[in-house]
Order: sequence, then structure tokens, then C-alpha cells
Amino acid sequence: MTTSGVAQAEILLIEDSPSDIGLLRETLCESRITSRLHVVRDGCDALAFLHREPPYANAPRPDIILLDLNLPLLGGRGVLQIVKEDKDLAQIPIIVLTTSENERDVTSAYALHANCYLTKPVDFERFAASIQSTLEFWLTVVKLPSYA
Amino acid sequence: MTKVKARGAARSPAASISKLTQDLQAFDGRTPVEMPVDAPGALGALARAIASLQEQLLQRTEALSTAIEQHERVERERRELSAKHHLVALLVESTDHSIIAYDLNGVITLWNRAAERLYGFDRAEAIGMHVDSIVPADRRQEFMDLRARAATGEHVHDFETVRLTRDGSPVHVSITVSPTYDADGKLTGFSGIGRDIRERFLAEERLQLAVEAAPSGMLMVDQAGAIVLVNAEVEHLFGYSREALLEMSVDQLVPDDLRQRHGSLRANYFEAPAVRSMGRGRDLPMLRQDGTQFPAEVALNPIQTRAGTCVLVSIIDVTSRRQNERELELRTQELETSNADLQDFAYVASHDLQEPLRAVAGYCQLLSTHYRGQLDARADEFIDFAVDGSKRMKRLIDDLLLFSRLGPRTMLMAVDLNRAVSDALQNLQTAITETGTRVEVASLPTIPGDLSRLVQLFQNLVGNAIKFRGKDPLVVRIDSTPEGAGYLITVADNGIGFEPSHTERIFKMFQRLHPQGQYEGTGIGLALCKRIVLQHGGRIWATATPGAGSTFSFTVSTNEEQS
Repeated sequence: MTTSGVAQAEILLIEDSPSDIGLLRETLCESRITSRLHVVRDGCDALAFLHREPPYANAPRPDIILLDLNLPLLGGRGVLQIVKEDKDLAQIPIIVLTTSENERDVTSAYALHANCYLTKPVDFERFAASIQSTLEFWLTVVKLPSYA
Repeated sequence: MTKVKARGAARSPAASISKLTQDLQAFDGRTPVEMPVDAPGALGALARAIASLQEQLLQRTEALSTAIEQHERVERERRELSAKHHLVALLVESTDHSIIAYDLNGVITLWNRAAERLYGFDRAEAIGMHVDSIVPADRRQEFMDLRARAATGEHVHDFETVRLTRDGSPVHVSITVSPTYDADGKLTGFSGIGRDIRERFLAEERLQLAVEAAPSGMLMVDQAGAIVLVNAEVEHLFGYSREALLEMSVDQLVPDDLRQRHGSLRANYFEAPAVRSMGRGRDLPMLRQDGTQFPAEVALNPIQTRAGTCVLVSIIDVTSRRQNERELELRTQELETSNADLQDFAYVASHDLQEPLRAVAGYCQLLSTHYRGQLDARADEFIDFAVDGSKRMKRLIDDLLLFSRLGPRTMLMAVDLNRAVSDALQNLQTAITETGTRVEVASLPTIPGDLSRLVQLFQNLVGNAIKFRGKDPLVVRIDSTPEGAGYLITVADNGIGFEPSHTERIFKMFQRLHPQGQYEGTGIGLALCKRIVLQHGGRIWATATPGAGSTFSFTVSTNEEQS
């Protein structure tokens, strides 16, 4: 299936900061995209969600993953690496969403096949705008492979 | 003797006498003439008498010629002797060595010209004078001993001592004392040959003084490794007394494990002695008397002495220098670590500050969006303050990040400052156009530097001028003049200027001269300028007249080493 024109996008947010989670929820509320937001707070939970392990046995396959690099337990890079090495999961677009503007972080994220790298603006309007346009791009503009 | 035979008795007496007369007339005084000694009668008697006379004559002649020969030989010998004597006298007079002779009582009998020069007494004064007149009182015993040795037939060679000149001042001499004999081999007195060694003595004394006063340990070593001269510093360095050192081999001053190698190194050195100066990486461990060691730097200077080639060794204890170097290295490392830590800190701090800041800013903005007008007016104002505060906080953090990124020194390239300025003006294009600013740029030099930072420098300075412009249209003038090993660059404007008392403060991080709201900015701009200029080996300062403008001046070095 293609994600474009999907009735309800399944978005997995891997993020440990409650305030950033809240801001993202607000952002999605203001978005034109209809979506369901699933939130996990660390890397281990993220993998459990993606592998549909308890307590995520009934989890949907996400259409897109928003990944913070700075995570407890298995870090963002660890999640990125495992997902991109997994044949079934590798096709899910991963948007690295982080505070770091460090060149090293950018380079290493793309080296691990992140689909794009976004820094979170401090200003909420800009934050919301960049998230919304990115999600729109991945969920409604580009053509992605369908999967069985 | 000649045997005279009768020739013929039958001749007549008259004819015989005539023949005899003829023969005698032919007599040359050497070859005997035959006489008719056997002739009878008167003729025979006459012939015998003549023959006898002839015999006596011949004998006398021979004796006379022998006497003449002897006389001639004696005369020749006398002339030769006289010539020799003259030559000896000439030599004695012309030599640079003083030659004197004195009898057993010490009365001077010979005094050559060099002696006149050396001692100051002329010959007339000296002859007949007692030789002790030129011997200092404290050297008399020594002189007596020398004469006693010479009296036994010994020649005392090159004995270094002190003599007195006519005015009583001492003179260092090297003397040779020999016995003199008369024709019968009886001791008549002594001769003394003296050489003025004042120059050498002074040179040696100067060397000795210089060596002694040298701040480094100095010792002279002969080819066998024997220590022949040391200074006080060597005693101090090694803990041995001077007397002990002069009995030692230099090899004993290096630790056991090096000793053998040191010996062969020394032997090699003497095969091709050359100056070897102090240098890094040539530390040699040295062994003190108490068995402890110290690292030393050693320099070698070959010196030609009368005893052959010696080497003057300078030794510097580098313990404290090495310690300092280690400490410096350690401190540099610490600084580098702390510098890196600081950068990490600045980065992490700015980075980790962003998240809570985003929470504050984001939720305040959400509050403002969703609840404006639903609370009271004061609540709206509070929210505005909070939003404004978080925005300023954001700018401060961004500037801090920018500053921390200026940390490490990047590679210096040749940077055309004209290009740096034009890039900076390009970045400021909007502000320049909006404010109608005119920027005049003189021809600028090319210096070793970092282009992006120099662009930032000019951008901050011109941007600063634009920010603090006055009522008149702003004119910014950028000039360059050579100064020392670099250039003095000035950025002058006709803006509002500032109080001269603030010249120091404006370059400090986050220092502002104006209240918030009046002028944008966190106060990082000039702090960044200062840092960039320092990184380029220069310094920056500002002069200003309130209301009339400011001039920012900085130096840049064209010498990469200083940057």
C-alpha cells in the first residue's frame, strides 16, 4: 500500500522528554494530517513495539518513525542501526528529530541510513511548521513501497 | 843527505872550478847540487865545504817552511774561532731569550740585550750586580735549590717562576739554569736563559678566571681522560673536591653502565676533535660522589695545549629544566584537556539547555495562543514576558555555542582581507541598504589566517557600526597601515560612539552598554572579535568620542609563528 492519501497515518514517536512529547501532540493536533500517535520512551520499548512484543502485541506497523537521538537505554543510534538492518523494518522512513546541531551527529545519523535529520527549533511556531511540513512530505508527497 | 860524487879527477883545476861555479849558480835552495867532494886537493876540500853548507841550508829551509805552515794554521784557527765567537755573541745579543751568567758568588758577568729588555737593567748596571737583585725574596730559596741542582751538572729546563724587574714589579718567566766551567772543567758559575711568559700566564689566568666564574660546570680532560682542570661549579655539581677531581678520570663521572662506552666515545672523539655545542636530546646521565645521578647537557671544545689536545667540557645540570619542561608539558596537557572540556561543556550546556528552553518557550507560546484573553490582562503580560525571556535565552545560548566553536585553532591560509571584507559586506547587504550606510574600504593586505573567522570579524565590526549609528548617514571607513611585523587595521564610523571609560568592558562576553530593548544583541559580538584577533596573533582596542563615532583598531601578524 502507499501511504499517500492514507486515512489515518500510524506515527511512532520515540522520545523520552514529556514536554517534547506534548509539543509534538499539539503540533499533530494543528496538522491537516489525520494520524494516530504512538509514543515509546526508550530504545528497548521502541524495538518491542516494532517487533510486536508484549505489551505491544497489537501494535500497528508505523508508517513513519520520529526518533530522538538522545534516548535512555538503547540510544537513538542503536535503534536506528537495528531498524535499518532489519529487512522488514528498513523501509519505514525514520526522521531523526533532535536538539543537536552537531555535524558529527548529522553525519553519523545519515551513515546509519536515517531518512532525514531535523533539529527541533526552540520557537514553537517554527517547531510545528517544520514537523508538519516534514510529515506531509513523507506521508503525502513521496511514493513509498507497499508491503504485504 | 845528498851524496856528492866526483865526476872526474882528470880535469884541470881551472875547468873543475868553473864547472863547480856553474852548478852552484843553478842551486835553487831545495834540490842539492852534486859536489866533487872526492876530488883531490883544494878542489875536493872546497867541494866538501860547499856540500856541508848546502846541507845546512837545506835543513834550515825545511824547518822554516814547517814553522810557516804551523803559523798559518794557527792563524786560520784563530780567525775561525773569532768568527764563531762573534756569531755566538751575535746570537746572544739577538735572541729574544734573556741570557745572563753569574759566578759562584752570584755576581753577574753576562747580560744580553733581551735581559735588558726583560728586567729593565742595562748591561752596564747589571754586570757586577748580584743576581739576587732580580729574585723576589720568597723565591730565593727556590733559586738556591735550582743552582744546587745545576752545580751537579744538571740543566734545569723551563722552570716557571717569578723574577723582579728594575722597578720591583714581578714578571712571570720560564728559566733554564746551566752550570758554567772553565777550561780545566772547574765550575765557575751558572748561566740563566729566561723567557717572558707574562702573555701566556695572563692568558692562562684569564682562562682560569673565566672557567672558574662560568655558571656551568667546566672541566678540561686530556686524551687519556684525566681531568686536568675543573671549576667550582664542577665541585658543586658532583660533590667531589677539586683535589679529588684532579686525580680522577672523566669516565668516573658517568654511571657504571655507561663508563665503558664513554671511554670508547672519548677515544673516537680525540681522533677527530670538533666543537660540539649544547643541544637538545643530548642529555647524559652524570654520577655524583654520593652515587646519585643527574641529567646533564654537555658541550665539547677541543683545545690545543702544550700537553697536546685537550677537551674543554661544559656541563649543565638540566634537572630543573627537564622538570620544568615536564611540568609545562603537563600543564599544556591539562590546559588542552580543560579547553576541550570547556568546549564540551559549552556545547553540552547549550545543547542540553535547549530542551527545557523549548519546553518553556513552546508551552508559553501555546498558552498565549490558546488562552490569551481567557485569563486577565496581567496573565497575558506574564506570558509575554516568559516568551520574550525564552527567546533572549535562546539567543544567548546560540551565541555561547558560536563562541565555543571558535576554540580550536584552525589551519592558517593566505587570506586576502579585501575578500574577507567584501564577504562580510555581502552578508550585511540588507542592513547596509536599509540604513543607507556607505562603507569605504582601502586596499587591504593578505595575511595568514582563517577566512571565515576574518569575515566574521569584519561582519561584527561593521554590523556593530550599523547597530550604533547616529542620526547622520553612516559612513564606515576601513583602513590598513603596515606596523611592525604586520598591519594595523582600523574600522572607523561616525556613529554614536561610547564613553572612553567603557573601552575595556565592550570586549567582554555578554557585556552591553545599553538597556535591553534599545539595541538588539547579547553582547557577544565584540568578545568574538577579540577572540578572533587574538587567534591571529594580534590585539584589538577601541577609541571613541560619545556622539562622534568610534574607531576599532586591531593588529594582524604576517608571521605565521606568532599566530
